[in-house]
Amino acid sequence: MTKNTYHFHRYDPDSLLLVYARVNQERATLALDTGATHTVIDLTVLLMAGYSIKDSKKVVLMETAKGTIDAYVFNLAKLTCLGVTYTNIEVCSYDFLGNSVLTTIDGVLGLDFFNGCNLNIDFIESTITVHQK
Amino acid sequence: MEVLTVNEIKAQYPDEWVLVANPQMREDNFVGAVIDMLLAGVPLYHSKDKREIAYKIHDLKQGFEDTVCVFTGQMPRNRKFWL
Repeated sequence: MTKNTYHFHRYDPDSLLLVYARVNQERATLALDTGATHTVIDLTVLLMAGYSIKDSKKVVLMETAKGTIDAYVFNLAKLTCLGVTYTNIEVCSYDFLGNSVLTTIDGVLGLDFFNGCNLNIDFIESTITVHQK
Repeated sequence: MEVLTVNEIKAQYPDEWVLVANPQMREDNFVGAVIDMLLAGVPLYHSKDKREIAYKIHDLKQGFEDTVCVFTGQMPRNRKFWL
């Protein structure tokens, strides 16, 4: 059982809640999104981490704010964020740039990442606590 | 190759993606974007196009144990997000 508390800083009310993650050894910036059912990572990050489209195990339709798109499903060897590490974790990925998503973030950390965890986001103290059972 | 602080990297390569070798990262309990965690490192390559770095990264990182790719610009402050 592990419990980790992290401090975050939102520069203004428009700021996303950004967290630092590692896809295998590659580092990525993800937005913590409790409104997303699944973790989604930009295909470019997976390319950097050594994956190719050939490594995806299937293609699924994904509902995004910009409409329905084809997304690739990968089994990542390792995904670490907020002190929690999953091995052989399934994540969705699509080409952000190719789908006109122009952003400096690399994806979203969705609810599936927190299955089996107690997640507490304290906006008064600016802390995120993840208690993994 | 010279080690630069993150502020020096931002000043030298504004609004670009920069591949940084031997990154020195914050190790406290702060969490944020990768650029906010970076303290210093050796800039290896820079581009306006992150995809260009992704395609070249295998060759660029030869001889380095650890690298990180960061964007040195900022998100527009007045943008609302609906993910």
